[in-house]
Amino acid sequence: MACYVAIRHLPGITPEVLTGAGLRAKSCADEMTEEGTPVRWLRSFFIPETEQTHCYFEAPSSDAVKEVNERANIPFSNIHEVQELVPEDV
Amino acid sequence: MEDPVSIATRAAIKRAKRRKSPKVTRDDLLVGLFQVIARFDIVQIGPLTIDLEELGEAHGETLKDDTGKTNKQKVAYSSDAVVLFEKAAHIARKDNSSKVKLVHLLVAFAYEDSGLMAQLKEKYGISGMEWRSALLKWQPVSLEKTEPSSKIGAGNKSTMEFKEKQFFSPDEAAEFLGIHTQTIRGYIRTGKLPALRLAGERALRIQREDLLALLEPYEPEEK
Repeated sequence: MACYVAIRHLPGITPEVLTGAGLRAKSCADEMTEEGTPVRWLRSFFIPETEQTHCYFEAPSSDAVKEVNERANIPFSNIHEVQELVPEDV
Repeated sequence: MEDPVSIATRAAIKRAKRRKSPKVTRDDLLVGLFQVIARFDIVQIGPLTIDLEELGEAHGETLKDDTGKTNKQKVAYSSDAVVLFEKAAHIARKDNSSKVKLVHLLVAFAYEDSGLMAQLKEKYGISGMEWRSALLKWQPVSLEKTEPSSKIGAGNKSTMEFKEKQFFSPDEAAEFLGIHTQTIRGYIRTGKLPALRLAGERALRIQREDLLALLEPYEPEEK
């Protein structure tokens, strides 16, 4: 399964907004998985300095990642496929 | 084990689909929460008794449209629902809870003056303060006690499921020993607990013997 990052620019974001978005993302990913499109929210990183959030998803396509974010009503500026690299693999 | 908040949010999505609505509204969310905490289609919060059957949201009703096929209709959370999630997160933080629980979502509805919540307030003659007060004393009947499953394993039904189990995920291992998942992960990182990796995957598995080997007899200091 491919891995994607959804990049968001969210000026003035609060921890509450991030938590709320996380809850919605989880439920929408579960729903899409049940519908036959396996989407999983892996993790997110918030970069306070740039007010950007990078949210990583495992999904069959970038369209699926777009859809899960639309369903969860979380704005994003870009979605890119990423190559995952972990210390254990190098 | 799915946590109650996930079950409630999924129930809300399902309700929106049944209504053939493209949006998951606040009402969907409230009904989803009620369906999770109801027993015999009755929601009991403090002195309040809400009958889901009367609201047309009884479990049997909700299954009416279920044809057995997966409904792939795309439904998105409405802006109003988004605000409620944020309110609930704020309430959870003030409550010193690291997670948003059912009760925090229910409290968030105290401030609603439209939709189903407004109808309930009128019908039962309660104010937002009375709703919050009722929730303060609310003891979930059956669901939320299973929530800290990764923390305390003793006595819950999963203990039975573990009887025959040979390989455990870190979460299951934590539940099995009645300790926190982070502790298990720490033991794995430091080499105190051997773990196996599923070939080509990131998922870890721990053998039963290795978990039992962590336990040693307690020797009282004074004999």
